[in-house]
Amino acid sequence: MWQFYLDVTKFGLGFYVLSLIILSPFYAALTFGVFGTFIGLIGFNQFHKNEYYTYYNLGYTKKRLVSTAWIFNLLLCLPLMGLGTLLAMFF
Amino acid sequence: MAVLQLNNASKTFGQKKILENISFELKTGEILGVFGRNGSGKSTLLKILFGTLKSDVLDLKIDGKSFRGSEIIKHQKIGYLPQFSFLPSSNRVWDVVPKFFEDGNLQDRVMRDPGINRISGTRISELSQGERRYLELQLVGNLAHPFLMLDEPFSMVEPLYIEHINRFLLQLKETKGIILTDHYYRNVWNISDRKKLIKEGKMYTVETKENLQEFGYIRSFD
Repeated sequence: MWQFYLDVTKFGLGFYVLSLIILSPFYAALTFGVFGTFIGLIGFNQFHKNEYYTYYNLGYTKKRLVSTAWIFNLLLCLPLMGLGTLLAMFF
Repeated sequence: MAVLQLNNASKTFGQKKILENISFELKTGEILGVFGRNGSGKSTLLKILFGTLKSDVLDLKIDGKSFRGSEIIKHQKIGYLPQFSFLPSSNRVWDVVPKFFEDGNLQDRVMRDPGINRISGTRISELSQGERRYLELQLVGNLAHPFLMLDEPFSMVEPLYIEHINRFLLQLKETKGIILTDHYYRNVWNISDRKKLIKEGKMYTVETKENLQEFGYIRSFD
């Protein structure tokens, strides 16, 4: 399941870096937390779609995979938002 | 002994009936061979049983307990080897095996298999199609599910591996019920305890090799 999270989040983080071009670090992190997983899923479905069957055989439903990745990314966005706030204070 | 019962499964895509009132029973300790031409609905049937494709009607019972399609994966009653490769391609073989098995003894058993041992350090993306297929079969087959569905396990596999696969399936049969489908129909015929054929959405029992001809699946059986 960790592998699924990494594969999804690498696309989500790419989205986060791109969003920094138009958004402040704080809002880019918030956008990543809320929407990053769904962007990541688009990337996963494009390049790793067949790999769902690895997780299905191990008992993980798509709903469980996606909801867990979304919660992790929501938690990950909190330190990113904090970092963004700090950066905004100093620069 | 576990028993899987499927009653009256049906599936339509638009106006086209792919499967119509498909029913069968499978017990652990037996291999059910399913024949059918391309597009006959074999893979559709397996996906319905695995719960990754919704059927119009599904009455699936395992040991008398009913399962909805959405419940099959989480209860881990059925393992599924799909037609396509499904392992994380960036991983090496020795990274993938522990993801499937927490039990160290089971990991060792899979890694010590001669067909796996020699590719243990290779990335999944660098394996030949036959090597990958054999690995996938070992991984799914060694999971604890009482039922196993194999969609083209012999595809692109070299003859020596086919012998390994046959032995492995016979070993698995002792504890699992297996549904096997493949266009290498001789392999399926030889190893199956019972045979079915899907044609025009309906499932028929196949008793003799001549039946395969009568249903138009093959021209002749050498």
